[in-house]
Amino acid sequence: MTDRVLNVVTPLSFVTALYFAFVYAPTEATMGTVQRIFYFHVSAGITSYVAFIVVGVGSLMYLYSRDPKWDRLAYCSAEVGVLFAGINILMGMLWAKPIWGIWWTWDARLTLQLLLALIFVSYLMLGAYVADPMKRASLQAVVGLLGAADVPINYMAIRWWRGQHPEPVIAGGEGSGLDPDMYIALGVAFVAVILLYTYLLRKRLAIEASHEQIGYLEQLVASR
Amino acid sequence: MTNLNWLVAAYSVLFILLFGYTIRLALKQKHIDRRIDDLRRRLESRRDAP
Amino acid sequence: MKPIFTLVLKDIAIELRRKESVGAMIMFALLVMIVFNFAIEAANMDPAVRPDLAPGVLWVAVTLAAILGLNRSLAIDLDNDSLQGLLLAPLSRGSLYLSKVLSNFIFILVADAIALPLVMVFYDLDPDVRLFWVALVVVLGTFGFAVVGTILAMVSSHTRMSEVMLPVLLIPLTIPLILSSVAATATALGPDGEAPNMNLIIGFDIIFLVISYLVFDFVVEE
Repeated sequence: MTDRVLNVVTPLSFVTALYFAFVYAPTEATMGTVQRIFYFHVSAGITSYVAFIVVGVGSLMYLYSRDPKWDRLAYCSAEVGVLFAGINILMGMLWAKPIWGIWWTWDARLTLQLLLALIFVSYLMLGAYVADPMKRASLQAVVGLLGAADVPINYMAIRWWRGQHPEPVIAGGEGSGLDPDMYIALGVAFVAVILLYTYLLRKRLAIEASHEQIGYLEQLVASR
Repeated sequence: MTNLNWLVAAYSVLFILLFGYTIRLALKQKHIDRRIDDLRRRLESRRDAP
Repeated sequence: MKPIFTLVLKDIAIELRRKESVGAMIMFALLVMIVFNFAIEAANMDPAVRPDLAPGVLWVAVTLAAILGLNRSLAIDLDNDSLQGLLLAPLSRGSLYLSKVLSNFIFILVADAIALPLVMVFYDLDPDVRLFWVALVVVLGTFGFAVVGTILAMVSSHTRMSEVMLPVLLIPLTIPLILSSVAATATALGPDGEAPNMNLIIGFDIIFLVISYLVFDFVVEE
């Protein structure tokens, strides 16, 4: 039921968000049309953090309860999360180059996003390289938990560091001087991206459920 | 106006990554469904043939 | 408490006999600094500014040497399945974790004790009172590496490419530690010689020590 609703609502909201980003939102004064990257770039960034919170919660719950559904939730969310982190970083770079002239800078936001992506990737790599499935679940949960503890510490460390040594903040204009219509467009884009995350997460989880089914059926076939 | 290229590039990245992943998931699901059907069929035939 | 110290003494005794890990770590730290020197040459830096590089180079050398040490320490334990023996001992998993952390901490610290003077020589730093703060930062930061590195080494030991998996897991997670340690070292070496802000380092150490202590069970269980 949820899936059927999502199958309709998700693409609809995505198209709506595109309309809001390209038509509804006014063109930014200094940056021009290129600034429209902002709506999906920021939404993807926030969504990647949401995905990571899910990884942390899933990891903790798995260690607490040993119920495999939490483990599945965690690594599926990591996979979708790294996708959105990648979208955020790439869109950010393609926005930064024309506007600020550089592909990259170590400002707080970009650095944090890169580190989050790295933690996601190392988490997923671990999952790929452990042979025993039970062991994999435990180990990934431990790393997921460590990662979840690390993200807020990362945030504090980098914000503190950049406070001491300020760099030109890319996209500093987000917090300041946004047209109210732009806020609306951002909100619409964010809803669309979160729905996308939920949709992709459920599809990914469904694949895992199907894997379980295959395992079960294969056992039946072998036993007959 | 050349900045438009960058806008196009950024949104292309968005579309390519999103649709690429979605399609990959859909293909995997199809592949798995086929395997499940295959296994189901084999179970049925085993049950019919004593 | 006593079993923990017994295990730590055992690890030290093994190392004293074999003399492989710490020596390798010291050599590695030295080589890293030498490579850095040639890497920096290209920047044509004003010699007056070069001492500013010292904190960064120090912590890069410590990080890489620590990874080397952690891998070796784990390899020694996995050799001959001595880890199995440790698991059978009447010792809580948490205590086993703490003993490993202490052993690794001590080994990396020995390497630090050589790396720090090396950095001071290569980057013309004055050995004076500020050394106390620098030493304190190095001790606290190294402890953080030992805390996270020990559990991650055990995690990576279950993978096919364990030696590569350790840095892949360790470095992203310890970036805040490295960042804070470099900043604190720089402050300590600065002209004012003021006490550096070590809150983040201490917080990192405590938080990850507690978490790792609690979940270590899940990593070593069979």
